[in-house]
Amino acid sequence: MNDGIPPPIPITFEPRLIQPPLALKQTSAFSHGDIYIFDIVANSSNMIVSASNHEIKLYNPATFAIKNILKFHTDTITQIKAHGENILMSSSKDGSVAVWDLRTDAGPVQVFKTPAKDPLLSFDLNSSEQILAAGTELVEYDANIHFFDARSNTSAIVKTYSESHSDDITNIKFHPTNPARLMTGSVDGLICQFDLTDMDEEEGLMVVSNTGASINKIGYFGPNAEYIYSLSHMETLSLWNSEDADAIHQFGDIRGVSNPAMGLTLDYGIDCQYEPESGRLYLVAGSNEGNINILHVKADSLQLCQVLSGGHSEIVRSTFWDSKRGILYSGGEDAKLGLWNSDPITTASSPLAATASARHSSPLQLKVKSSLFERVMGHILCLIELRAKYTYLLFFFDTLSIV
Amino acid sequence: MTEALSLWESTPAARRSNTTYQDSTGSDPPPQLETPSPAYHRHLARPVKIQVSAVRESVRQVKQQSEEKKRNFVETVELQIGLKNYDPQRDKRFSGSVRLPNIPRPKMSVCILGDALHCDQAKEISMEYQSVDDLKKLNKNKKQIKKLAKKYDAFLASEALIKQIPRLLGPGLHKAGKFPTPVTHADNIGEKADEIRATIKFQLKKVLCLGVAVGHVDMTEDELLANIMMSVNFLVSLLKKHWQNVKTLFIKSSMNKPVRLY
Repeated sequence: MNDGIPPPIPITFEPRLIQPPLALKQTSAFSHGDIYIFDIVANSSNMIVSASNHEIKLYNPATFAIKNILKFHTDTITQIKAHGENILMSSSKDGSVAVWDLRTDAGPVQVFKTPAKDPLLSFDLNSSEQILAAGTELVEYDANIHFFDARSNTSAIVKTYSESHSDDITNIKFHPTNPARLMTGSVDGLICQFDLTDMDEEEGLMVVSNTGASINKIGYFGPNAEYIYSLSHMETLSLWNSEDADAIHQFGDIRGVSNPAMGLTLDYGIDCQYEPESGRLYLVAGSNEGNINILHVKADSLQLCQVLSGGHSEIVRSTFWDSKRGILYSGGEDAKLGLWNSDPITTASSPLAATASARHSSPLQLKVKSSLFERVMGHILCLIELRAKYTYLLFFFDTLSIV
Repeated sequence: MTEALSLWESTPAARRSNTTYQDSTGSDPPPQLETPSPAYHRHLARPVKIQVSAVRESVRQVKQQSEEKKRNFVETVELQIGLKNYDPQRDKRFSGSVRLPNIPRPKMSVCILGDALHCDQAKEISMEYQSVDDLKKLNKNKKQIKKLAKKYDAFLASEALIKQIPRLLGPGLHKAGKFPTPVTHADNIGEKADEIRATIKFQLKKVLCLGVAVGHVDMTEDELLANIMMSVNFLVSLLKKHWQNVKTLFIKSSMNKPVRLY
């Protein structure tokens, strides 16, 4: 790495993992003017979008018709999270986490505030919905994790951890099923995991992974959240064991997978996503010109599944992919929202979508057998293969627990 | 640690080889491309905005300035970058670290929190070290741990020990930003320490300028040149519009005036 160029990472093409492929169905502008879209979350009734003008907009997820505009925050909205069908939570550098009932027109139904207006960069609600944790920017010498009682009417802070990070806390993630387990990630490169049973910062600090890189996104994955992925601001990707915090694999700078012959340009990571049904971890990454690349992440290698192009002309800041229903929403610095799905009928009818799908067909794709029967058989064989590995894995872990 | 198989993994044969995927469904593996062409780095395909010869000349000036007014410490050489067309409020965060070819801070003190083997190795190369027993003796006393954190610039820790650090020291090293970097028995601890000494951090917060220490005045011209080119190329590659985001580039030694590069 002597001239700033990341070393090439071997990449193979595996389009069978996303069948039928996603195609651009529709785009829409968030608003006129120079706006960046920051975050998108969606469910069956709403697509919810946060933007750089401190607004949150609610859309009909199929037609992109605007349903409502949520104005409350007075500074950058740093994270949004949907809870069930009707609740939205949003954090902001204005020092608050707002809770919204999407069925009403009024403002937030509850606001959790930090007394010193500590800019909040991240938050999460635990699996029992009792604890809300929020991470702050570095203010003077402190980067804090504030804990709130999510069930109470008051928005008083119950506890603050201030010793565990030395820089902006960019990620707060509760364990998906254990309500007492919390993971935090920071610009200081550390992934800290806590046991919150006694609400004591020192005693509760369980394990720490030093990723050595300013953390952009982390998350649990695996059937029992036994692994962690970490994406850094320098576009490096690494995988970790959540139990003992050991590194599984360091992919290094993922821009190294860029491969013109595959039509793959990767300039930045957007996020990773775990698909429980298939047991696969995906990496969604983008190009500066607005391409969205979906890659399958294996223990020590990457596979390109699909390149989504034609939807954006600038950096893509957020995607929301419901892989079960085959729908992907995207939003970028061009203020555009994109809807991608694998519905063959509608993609054929829309001229815009047809152009996009022609563009994202790489020459390699022609060599993959595309008859419906073969695609389905490929799918079933993949699942059988995974089932076999899962059984072996259970056996392996059983053996470990005896030892 | 990597022995545990993971759910999403391919067959063991493919694990060992990074470039082939043994597709057990029986069909041909997808076509692979071995080594992508260097042109995949588009920002370097565009003309590089600074000439090596011009940088060399500026380095010469900086060294000369430092020679003229000799100080009683070794001055640091700093690279200062002024950005434009970048909005810290909404553009993606610019934060990371880069390892330079030549160590900019040779005096950086590194201590290893080692198991038996690593403590022995540390003794051999006169590296500071603390054993598990030494750490246990601190008794989780916050003041003592703070003292330890202040005493050294950075820490290494044996892999086996790293898991015990939360139990032995709590978050004592975190606040100082000095949580240890792991080392295995296969690593050379001297080299690992040098790696840390050669890595510089950079972060853009609210203002549009950034300064990073890229060397010191006792380095040769070539060494400074290599460090500067590496830093500039790496930082520019992370900017959305690459050179369109760079307004100015200066290098300066601690006590002298900046010399313009761009």
